[in-house]
Amino acid sequence: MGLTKLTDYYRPKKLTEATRLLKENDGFFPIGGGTWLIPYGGSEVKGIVDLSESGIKEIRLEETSMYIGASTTLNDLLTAPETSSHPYEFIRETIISEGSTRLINSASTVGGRIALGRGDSSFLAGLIAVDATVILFGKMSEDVTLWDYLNNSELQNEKHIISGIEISTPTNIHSVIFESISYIPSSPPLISLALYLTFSVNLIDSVRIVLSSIGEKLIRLEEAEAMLLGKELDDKLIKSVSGLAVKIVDPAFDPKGSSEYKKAMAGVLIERVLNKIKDNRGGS
Amino acid sequence: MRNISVFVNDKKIRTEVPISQTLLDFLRSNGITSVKRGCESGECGACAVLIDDEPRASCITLTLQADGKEIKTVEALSTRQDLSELQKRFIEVGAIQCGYCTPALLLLAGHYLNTAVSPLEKDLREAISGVLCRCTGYVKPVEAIKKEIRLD
Ligand SMILES: Cc1cc2nc3c(=O)[nH]c(=O)nc-3n(C[C@H](O)[C@H](O)[C@H](O)COP(=O)(O)OP(=O)(O)OC[C@H]3O[C@@H](n4cnc5c(N)ncnc54)[C@H](O)[C@@H]3O)c2cc1C
Ligand code: FES
Ligand code: FES
Repeated sequence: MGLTKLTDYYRPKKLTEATRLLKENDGFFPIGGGTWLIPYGGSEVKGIVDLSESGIKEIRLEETSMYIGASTTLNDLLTAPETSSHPYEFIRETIISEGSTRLINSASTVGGRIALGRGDSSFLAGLIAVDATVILFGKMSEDVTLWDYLNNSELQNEKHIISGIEISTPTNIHSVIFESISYIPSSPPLISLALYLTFSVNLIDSVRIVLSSIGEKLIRLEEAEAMLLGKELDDKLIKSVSGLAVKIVDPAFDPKGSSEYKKAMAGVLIERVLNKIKDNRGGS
Repeated sequence: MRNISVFVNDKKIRTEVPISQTLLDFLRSNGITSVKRGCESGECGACAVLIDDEPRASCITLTLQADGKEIKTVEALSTRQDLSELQKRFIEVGAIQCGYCTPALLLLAGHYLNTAVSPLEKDLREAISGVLCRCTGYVKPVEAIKKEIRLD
């Protein structure tokens, strides 16, 4: 364990108390399950503020959205009735695809996963695809999309508590389509894709394309999204979008899969998913 | 140092612990040596315990996180005189080689069998997947667990 300078630990019952402890003490960090901070936190961690009893462990289905409290564990999500069927089953599917075991999933929290923002998280890729909003405690006016949160280093460096996330219920029949490639089904993906797409009559009116396991950060293919917006989904467009993906994706070194392979697979996954959507709609 | 109070295998322990102590160190220093030290980074599962009936890796859990909770280890499965049925199946089938992973496998398999409504081999394999076994290739342990619940 790397927490050689740890001298304080609190488990507050209220988020206001947790925030006060973090603000008033240098070197204090929040923990969810501690599965990352405890083995890898290092000597900068002087105090721990354990959020497990701060009242943010809940899954709430509302009329047009779902709220997930930050202390909810990945195992809570895997076993919750809310994620067992359409339109939220993508949450379960993306968590399973990551290949983490029960031993880790029963401690790992949603808040910890978001704060780490790893580039190999299929779970986060799925949440970005549906424009999930990160709720920052005490900053009601500053709720941000998960994508913006993960790309705002200033915000990430500042002391704050993620209290939960909110997902607007995906309305489209296809909602999020998740595809991944791995050596065996239970091993973490070499590359994965979460794609969300809606139509207004025959024209694509919203789209998100998110790739994971490409590099340190998750990748959103905004250029490819722009290419799809406002168009009809046909074979030619599908080929162009997958071709563009192959061109712009620039995978980091990974001993498990070469950069050339991952580039090619980014195109394959996009083509596969778009074809699936087209076929489901009975298109040309 | 901090005062804590935990139940370990139904026995209440009130004591003082260092703030940075892991649950793995706490348990081993209290004589619970079935909880093994392996990778100490959450990867191998040799240190598995149940905290309030949830499987956890004790090497990446602070003792203070378990304060006020119930901890179960494989010692709770049997008495000195009598092994549990699952332990007997492990012996009968020959599911133990070096034995380093065995307490964790028994604990997680037992937890799965106690909580699953209709056990399936696929789910059982998933339940024990956090424990690495370098010797058996999981064939014999899975056979022993299946034998215990007559899932052939
Ligand atoms: C064996 C193993 C496998 C793993 N596999 C994966 C994987 O496949 N994908 C992956 O993404 N990660 C993986 N991890 C890393 C980590 O366990 C997970 O990302 C986990 O979800 C982190 O959650 P936690 O609650 O345990 O985080 P913690 O360790 O408690 O915290 C992680 C970081 O987040 C901060 N934090 C925690 N909660 C909050 C909050 N509510 N608000 C603000 N900041 C907060 C902490 O200060 C810390 O910096 C793995 C770890 C292990 C040990
Ligand atoms: S020693 Fe805890 S997981 Fe390996
Ligand atoms: S029996 Fe040796 S590691 Fe499992």
